[in-house]
Amino acid sequence: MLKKTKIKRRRHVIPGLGMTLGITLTYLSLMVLIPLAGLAIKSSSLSFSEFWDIITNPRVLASLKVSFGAAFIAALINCFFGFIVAWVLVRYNFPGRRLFDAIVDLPFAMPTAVSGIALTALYAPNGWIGKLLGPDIKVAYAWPGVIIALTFIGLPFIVRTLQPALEELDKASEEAAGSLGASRWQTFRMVIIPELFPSLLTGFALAFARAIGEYGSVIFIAGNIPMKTEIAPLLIVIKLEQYDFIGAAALAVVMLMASFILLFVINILQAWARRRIQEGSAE
Amino acid sequence: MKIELQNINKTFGSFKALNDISLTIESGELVALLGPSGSGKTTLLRIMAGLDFPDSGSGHIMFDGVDVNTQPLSSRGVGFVFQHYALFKHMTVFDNIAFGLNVRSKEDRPSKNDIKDKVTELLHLIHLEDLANRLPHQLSGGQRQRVALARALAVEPHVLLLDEPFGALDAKVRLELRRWLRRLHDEIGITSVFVTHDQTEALDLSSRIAVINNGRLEQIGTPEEIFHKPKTEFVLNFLGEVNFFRGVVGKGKIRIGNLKLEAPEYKDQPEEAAHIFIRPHQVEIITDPKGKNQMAATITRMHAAGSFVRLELKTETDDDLYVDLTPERFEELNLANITNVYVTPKNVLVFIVGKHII
Repeated sequence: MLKKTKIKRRRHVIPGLGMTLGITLTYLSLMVLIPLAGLAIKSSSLSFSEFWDIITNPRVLASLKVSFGAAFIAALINCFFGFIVAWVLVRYNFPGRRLFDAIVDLPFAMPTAVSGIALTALYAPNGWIGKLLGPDIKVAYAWPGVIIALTFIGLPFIVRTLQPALEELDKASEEAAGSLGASRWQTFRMVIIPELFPSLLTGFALAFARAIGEYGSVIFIAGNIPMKTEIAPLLIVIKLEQYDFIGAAALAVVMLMASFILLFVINILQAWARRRIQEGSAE
Repeated sequence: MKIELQNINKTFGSFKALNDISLTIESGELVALLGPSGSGKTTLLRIMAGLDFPDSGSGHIMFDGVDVNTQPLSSRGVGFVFQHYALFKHMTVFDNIAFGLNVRSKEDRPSKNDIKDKVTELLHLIHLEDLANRLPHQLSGGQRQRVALARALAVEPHVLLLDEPFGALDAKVRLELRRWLRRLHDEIGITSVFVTHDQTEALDLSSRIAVINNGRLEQIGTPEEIFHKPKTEFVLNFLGEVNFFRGVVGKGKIRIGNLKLEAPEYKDQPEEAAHIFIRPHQVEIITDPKGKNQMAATITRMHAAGSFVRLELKTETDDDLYVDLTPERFEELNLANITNVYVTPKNVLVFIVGKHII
């Protein structure tokens, strides 16, 4: 209560702090916290040993490994190629640049099932790319297929977080590095990358988080072989279809915790990196 | 190192940023490139550094007689100090200064200890020994600028180029840093060129000034020459305040309205329309007229805050005239109670329709 009156008493030029704060908290509770709490309550009807049995089931563990592992690798791949895409879109002017810029958002906008079907059609053994790869290299219905789908949907996150950071990058510091005798690679490695690192982390975290939860685009291309290419969200759906609500909730809680911890760690890293270059007082 | 620029041209699209500039800077000089914003002075500095290039086929840039036009930035041996410092935000002061040494190839790179000694020496030079481990955002503007300077000096460049080095600093720090840079230059004697739009800075700091306007070199000379013998009206106007009159020059006389000044150097010339300029401190004021070479004027405003008294007058020719008097002279004339006075210029500068001067 005391805090509340304090907030009210302080005078602000910009109106509406009290109201917007109320709306924000209500909205967050309704949309995010209450469903999550429901999930936790649902799974709390399990005893710990029952819970432990569900989540240490080999099939569950394998699905978690596929989901987190593939999401991580996909996010890494996106960091690399997303960086190049963002770099080219910001630094160069070429015909069709705006078109390419718009295309980056496609994975956002397309229904995930559509992208899943499209990717499957391409990479299936009789698809355009699948045919070229021959029968020995299996992409669709295998691990690489999962990674490709997750890479596809994660790209916009990296590009869109890096673009503004790249645009703000001070050209003079690159020129300074050059005038001090640094090669282009040294400038890139020692000046550009460190300054973009916080944004890169943000993009990574977003792409990673999105990929962990991705369902639609993966299930078509993954083949969903239990223990091999079955992702955790699919296992949840399977459990739901079998009316095993509690099992589904238990698995969901594990995913929630894991995602939370990962994002938390990434956020700490990011805060640390950002503090080092703290733009606020720099100019 | 001696820098020679020959016939430098630079166009951005259809905009001619530099127009046939030739300029020689002797070894050890401290030269100011002075001009209004957009005059091309920064472009010229960047071309010297190798951050920009002259239009293809135009001009030469020679360092000690060697054409460096094709040499890349990293091998010209130029230290460049940027207007907004351009420090590496994620590196400490120490690492910023050591950067140029750390990026050298293994064979040329000094040992860790040598680098440390060098950086410590430079930190001492810029009086920031205690701040070696700070990050740039923890420094004040003046400190950042000194770090930027130390960083440029660490690689022992032959030429130091500074782009508006004090532009982003407040007036007091600017003055301190200006004096410090002057002393530094006297100590290490490195050929230096700095860009500024501030004429007092250029007059105060440099051994020679190159005045640039609209991509052209208007005049180059010592501060005294530039100030007292400006070759163009632009230079005259740009360097300090000046009063402007339209008049007539010829037959040994300079005439402004009824005022006649002896000008024996124009004895053999017919009378021609001219632009006549008078600096505010080169006007004599008297309260009673004697002789003919005076102009009646009315004091419209005066203010005495500062090291001199500034008078604003309206002359009988209906021109505005600013006059600076010493406070002693102001007292002596008892001007506080008088509005009608007579003025005589002690020195005038005459331009006959863009031609010659006294």
